[in-house]
Amino acid sequence: MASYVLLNIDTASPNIEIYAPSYTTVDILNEIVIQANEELSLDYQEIYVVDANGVRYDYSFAFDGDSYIGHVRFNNFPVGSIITLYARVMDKVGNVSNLVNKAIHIANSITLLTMTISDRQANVEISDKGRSVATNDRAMKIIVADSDRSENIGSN
Amino acid sequence: MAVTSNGTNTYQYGTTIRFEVNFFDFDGNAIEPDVIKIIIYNQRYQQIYTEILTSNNQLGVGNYFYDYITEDKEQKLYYEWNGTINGKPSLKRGSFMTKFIN
Repeated sequence: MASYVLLNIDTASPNIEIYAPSYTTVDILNEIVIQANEELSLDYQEIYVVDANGVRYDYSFAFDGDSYIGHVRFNNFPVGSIITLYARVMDKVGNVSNLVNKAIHIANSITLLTMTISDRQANVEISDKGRSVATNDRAMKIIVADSDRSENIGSN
Repeated sequence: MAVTSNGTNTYQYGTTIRFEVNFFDFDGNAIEPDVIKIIIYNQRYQQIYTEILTSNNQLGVGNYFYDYITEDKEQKLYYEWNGTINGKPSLKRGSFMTKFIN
């Protein structure tokens, strides 16, 4: 009987997307994610910002399986300008993605205001006390009477 | 119950989370912005909720809160407090996770 081995060769580029805010300020530490639809290679990342004057600034993000994650503060760009973030990565078998980009507005945020922010949840007390259940396995006494009734059978 | 990891709090999904903000000037005095907004983003930074706050959400001078009911799903969310004075915004962001907590 003939046997076959089918090989599927992965020649498809990974699809990637940039998760980044459309606007930010020079004060905010932005979490930016380059998310792919498959596992990526640790060996290749091309992530950079081009400012309004066409100057390129390279960044190195942390590898996280199917994504690269960076925490970036854009405090070296002019307030009010629009910068463009570019990203290109590679999957585990060497297929390089398209170069994707996202524009980010460095908003004209005033620093007249300073803020302290917090998030919290109302206190909720929970308990999972079980209702006690008493069991007993007292057996009912069974009295077995085992009396033989003997009959006198007389023989004539 | 909130679980904190890498500075991000994780909450039971479906619960209500209270966000709070205090606005100060350079001298550390509490100050009242003209407009105060809270914006919630999903992990893709798409706005999923925006609210302009009123005195109903005010605790004191420059001190506001907002109670947000989380969706019944596991996700990472970002929140943004956005205060405006003389038409110019000032903003700050935080993040949190929601998941089923056993």
